[in-house]
Amino acid sequence: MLPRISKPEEPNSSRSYGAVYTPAFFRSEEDFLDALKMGRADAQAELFRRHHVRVTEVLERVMGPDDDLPDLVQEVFVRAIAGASRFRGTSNMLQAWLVKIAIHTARGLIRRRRVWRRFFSNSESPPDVAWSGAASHEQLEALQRAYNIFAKLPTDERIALTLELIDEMPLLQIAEVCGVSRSTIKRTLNKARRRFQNLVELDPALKDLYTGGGL
Amino acid sequence: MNSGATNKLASDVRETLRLARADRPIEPEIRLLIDRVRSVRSRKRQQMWAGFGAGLAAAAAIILLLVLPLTRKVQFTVGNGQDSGVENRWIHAEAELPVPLRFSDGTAMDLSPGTRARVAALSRHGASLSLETGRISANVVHRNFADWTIGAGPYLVRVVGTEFDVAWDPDLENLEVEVRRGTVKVSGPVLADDQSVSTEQRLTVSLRERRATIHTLDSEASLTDVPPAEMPSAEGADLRGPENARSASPGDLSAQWITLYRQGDYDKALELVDRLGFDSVARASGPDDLMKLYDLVRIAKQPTRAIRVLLIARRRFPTSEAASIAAYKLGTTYAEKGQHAEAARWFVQYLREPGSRKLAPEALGRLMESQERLGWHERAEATAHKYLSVYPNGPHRDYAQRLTSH
Repeated sequence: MLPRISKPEEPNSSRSYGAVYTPAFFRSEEDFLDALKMGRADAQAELFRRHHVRVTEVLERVMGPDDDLPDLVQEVFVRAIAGASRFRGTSNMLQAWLVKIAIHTARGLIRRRRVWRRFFSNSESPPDVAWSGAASHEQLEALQRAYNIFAKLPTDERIALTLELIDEMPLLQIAEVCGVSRSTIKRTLNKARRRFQNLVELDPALKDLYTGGGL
Repeated sequence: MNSGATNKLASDVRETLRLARADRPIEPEIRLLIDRVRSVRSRKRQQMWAGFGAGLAAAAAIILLLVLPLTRKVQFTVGNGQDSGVENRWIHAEAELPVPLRFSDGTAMDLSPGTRARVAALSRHGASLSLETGRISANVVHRNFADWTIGAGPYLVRVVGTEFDVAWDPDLENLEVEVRRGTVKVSGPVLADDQSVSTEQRLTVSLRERRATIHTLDSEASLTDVPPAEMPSAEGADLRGPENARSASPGDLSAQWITLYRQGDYDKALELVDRLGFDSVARASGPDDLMKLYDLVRIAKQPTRAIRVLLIARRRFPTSEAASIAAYKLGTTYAEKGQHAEAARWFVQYLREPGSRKLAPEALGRLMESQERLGWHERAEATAHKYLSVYPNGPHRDYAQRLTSH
């Protein structure tokens, strides 16, 4: 049986802001990519549907608890869609491409915030974690303290270390998404690990939690 | 903390992030995304149209800029206030400072003090000026079809693009054309048609003596005649050089006034300079000799000439220390003449110039005095505060303290 072929979506100006984008079906992955490159809304919706979980996860792990996360995810997809016509790969390479855009976007945000803080604020700490969910108070405390320390690392080291420690991304892939060579990422990670260890030593609460058998 | 503990921390962080993650419904997110993509596209389209419009406007402006000069006459302004110039209206430079004429094609001319001239006619390619008396320093922008002429008595100086001075003394019937860059053509009595005067050359014509000579401008030895073959072959032209006309060569005389200056015989030195031609000596002198010439006229109490020498020093050697010192001395000269606004302007100029530290305490002090004399009490007080903070034991300390104690 042939797969269903979805009609290309006709944007309707009268209801464009309330349109519901039902899951789209494409004859093949090539069709999906072509539709994406042509700027069809159904393909864009499909791209989000397929990859938003991974993009959100990576950004969450790099940035930590952050009120701007949903906006950041949107920003990544907007950039990806804007540059889709230049994408030269197969659909199974889309996720790696999106992760790369996510890292680039996150790096930009971290740097902008650093500049902003340097000139307009004395606060160096990220916002308090106030999420609802199943996490315990101790877990949230450890999470916040860990990201307080990540925030003190240089931007590239912070990104590389969070990808390695929290996202458990392989070394080569970290180098790929960060856009640097393998030896560069190794050096960056070595420096980041040393700096992270030293900063943890200076945080008695975190040290107690992990050397005193907490959590 | 060892690596095991670090891994445990990482694992806990990962787990906490997972637990704390708020599940957000996907459809509103997709709608938001599509809306954002559309708004980005529409913004880009607007930017593209705006860019297209700006490009069209720029192209139209360029066309206008290219076409207008072909159809419009050259315009000009007179003076530092940049009043619009009017054809055929006489311009008389009375003040100590030159009167600038600025033309719309970038050509600049300065009328030296005492000069009377007029822009007789304007055209698309230039202008015709008429110099009744005095000196015009011109920097004519070279363009295709440029057509600039300066009439001086019976002489006509024709220019394409160059930097030069024209001086005409109707009483003595002397013409002087000095070219710093480029070439001009001069025609008139005593000269052959279209006598060329090139870079670093000076043509002097005495109509009364029916004599014309060309000198090279550079160095003392330059005041020699060009070989007769290069001289104009006009009827009655006297090819004798100045050395034949005088008992000593101009180079010797030039050295003599400096010797007299060094011996302290200032009156005789100035007398000799006047014999050689004050302006010629000033223009042929280096920065150090210009300062000596300034001393001569200052001692002779001739402030107008002193100002002229200092302005020549600043114009000819703009980056030298002499130019900077000339700014300070212009301040003191104007102050002595009681023109305190001009004095203050030059003291400020001196203090602004790079490397002007040697006379800075005096300049700041004299600035303070000039401001106070002008009744600018607040400015004088501010300058006094600055003076005391920078030169607490400077020569104007008492004066500054008096101003700040009010």
